[in-house]
Amino acid sequence: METPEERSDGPAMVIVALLIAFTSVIGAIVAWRGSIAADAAGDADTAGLRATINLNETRALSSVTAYGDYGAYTQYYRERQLTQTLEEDLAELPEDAEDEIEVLVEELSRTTDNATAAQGTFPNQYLNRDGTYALDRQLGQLFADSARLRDLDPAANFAEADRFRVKSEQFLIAFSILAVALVAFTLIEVVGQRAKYLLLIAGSLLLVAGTVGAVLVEMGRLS
Amino acid sequence: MGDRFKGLISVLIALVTVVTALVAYLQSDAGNRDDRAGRDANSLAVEMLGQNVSGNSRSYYDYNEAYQAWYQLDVQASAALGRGDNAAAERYLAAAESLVRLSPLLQPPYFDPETGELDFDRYEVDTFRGRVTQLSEEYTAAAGVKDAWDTKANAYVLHLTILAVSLFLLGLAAAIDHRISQLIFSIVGGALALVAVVLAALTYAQPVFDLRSNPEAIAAYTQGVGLAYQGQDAEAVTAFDEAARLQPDYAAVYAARAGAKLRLSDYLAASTDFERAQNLGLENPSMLGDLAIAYYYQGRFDEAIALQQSVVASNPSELWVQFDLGATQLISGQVEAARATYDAAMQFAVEQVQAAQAAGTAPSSALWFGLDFGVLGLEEIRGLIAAGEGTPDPALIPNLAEVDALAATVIKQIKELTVGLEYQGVPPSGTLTAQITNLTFGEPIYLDDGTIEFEVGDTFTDGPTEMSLLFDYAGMRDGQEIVVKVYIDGTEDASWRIIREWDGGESGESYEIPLAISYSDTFVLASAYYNIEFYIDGLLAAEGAFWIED
Repeated sequence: METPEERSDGPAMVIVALLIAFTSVIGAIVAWRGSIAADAAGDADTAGLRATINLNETRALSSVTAYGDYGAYTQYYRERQLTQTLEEDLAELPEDAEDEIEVLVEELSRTTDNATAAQGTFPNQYLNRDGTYALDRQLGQLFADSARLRDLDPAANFAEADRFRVKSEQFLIAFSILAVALVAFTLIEVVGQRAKYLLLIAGSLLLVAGTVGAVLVEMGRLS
Repeated sequence: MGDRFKGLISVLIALVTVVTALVAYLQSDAGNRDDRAGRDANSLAVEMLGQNVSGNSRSYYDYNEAYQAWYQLDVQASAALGRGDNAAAERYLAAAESLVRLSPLLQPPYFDPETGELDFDRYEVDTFRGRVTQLSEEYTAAAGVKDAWDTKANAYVLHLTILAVSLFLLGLAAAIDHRISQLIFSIVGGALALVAVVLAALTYAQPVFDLRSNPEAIAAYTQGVGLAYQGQDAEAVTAFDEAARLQPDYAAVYAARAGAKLRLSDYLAASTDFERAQNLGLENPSMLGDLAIAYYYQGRFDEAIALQQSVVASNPSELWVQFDLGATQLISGQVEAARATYDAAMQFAVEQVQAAQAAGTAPSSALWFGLDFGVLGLEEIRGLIAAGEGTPDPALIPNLAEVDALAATVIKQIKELTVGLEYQGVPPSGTLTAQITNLTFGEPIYLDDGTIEFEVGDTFTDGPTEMSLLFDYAGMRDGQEIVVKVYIDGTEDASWRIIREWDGGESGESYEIPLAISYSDTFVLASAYYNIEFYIDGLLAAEGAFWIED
């Protein structure tokens, strides 16, 4: 049996019921989008950490490789320098200094052999024309090779994670506003006649604010 | 009346809902900050590892390749000069000079080619150790921030749970008609909501400090650590002072400054700083062990013993603290307790070695360090007793003769245990039957007829290039294990260590074991105090010493 008051509030209560239903649906969508953003932030963080590992692994391996090669080059360079000074000394010796020539030739043979052996233990493409070793070029090339195959930019991923995190928080704020709107609509049933309209207006304004806010967050206008 | 009550409950529900939404936001924010700090900590840890590996590989090249190559050429030049071959010397020097440009280590301010003086520690600090220290501090700070926000986020979850219960009770109050039940549910629900609000407010008010927001303090600390690494403790203290001024609650600064002050023998200041670091929440066995050392040198033996006992109880693997405890007990006259502590420590060392053997691994180097440390502590006590002065004040030692006798006994036991564990994996057993007598040192002189004579003595000058150990022996057995350890100015130089199987028969006279062979015409024994220990099957058979003077 319906009371006369219930009958008189019938259409208004239908509107309120529709508003509650609408707010609930919007709230659920906003919560879903917030959850997606939070998940994306976590994924971007993971990608950033992976990039950090890639970056540091690349640095470490490049350093180990390049300085290993540079060590071999140092042996080569040492023997080559000795060879050069021996050759200069040999050229200055008189032809009749046979004993000294023999000693120097023997040493020259040894240093030349050592230089030749050492030359085969590092990549010659990093030898400059003046005989120096392009260590920075090798390091740069190893890094660039790795960058072609793997993500070495953690900062970009972390920035993206932070953006998603802010987005997730903004969705939460929108959701909270919608929750308060929902409370306002729910309270309409238990308050006096004048307060009902105040709550309806307040709830509606909050619903609009929450919805518009969520749309702006989704569109990226608030970040 | 009923409608008004329900209206009130509804308003309360609305308020609690708003508060719940706010706390949910705070929880989400704290969770996000927790995640971000955790991510930073992980990222910094990985970067620290990477910098360490690449920095080490680089400095390995600089020292073991570039500097070694220079050094070899320099030695060859010296040898050539010694032979009178000036042309060869010039060749080597020219080649050495050309190597200088291959590495920054071979350039100022790290290297002086004229003197050959190398400051490798400074180079390491400048190239990567400083950066690694900075990353380590940033990592510690980020991890601390993560913990703090994690705690906050978890606290908010608790508050949300309380608010949910509150909402349930208030909803129940609105749904039922029984007046008393309504009152109970609404009062309890309201009270719970109030508690949750107060707790949430307190949690919110808790500050989260991030040391990374004070990079100057981290920089000053990093500088101090770098200086301490280079052995410049006084300068390091100044840097730590600055760091403490910039960040008065920076615990690591006080611990590091205390370490520097301890090395500078400023024991009271060291203990004060260690205590301050401890009060700020920093606690690790190494730091507490050092604090006990600071107490020890101040003669505060009871405090040292209490602290060492506590460290040993919670970290029995810190062998050096066990030996320190024994030394403190001994110097304070607790001879029986010291004896028991040393026995337990040595037994622990045996168990560690046996456990490593059973697992097919090797024991940690900390074990050998701990054993050496134990000997050093006891030798220091004996030195104090012999000198009658020093730090701590020998007047504090109650029964000198008894303490000295036990120290001598335990020193021998630890030394024998070390050799036994190192070479046989078990403590030495049995008693020594062989006799080593007339142990002397001699510089070989090669005569034209091919024979060798020895210039015997205990003090040598003019930089001898060779040195031999000479002794008479009896009761030996072929196949016994001989170990000779050489200590240069009190520290063992393992490159001199001799390990061999005895093949000299049962007895004999003037047996020679070359200690240092003349590797080249550039090698000379450095000016120092050399003492040697002669072990047979892990048992200390003889000791001796000689000096090389300038």
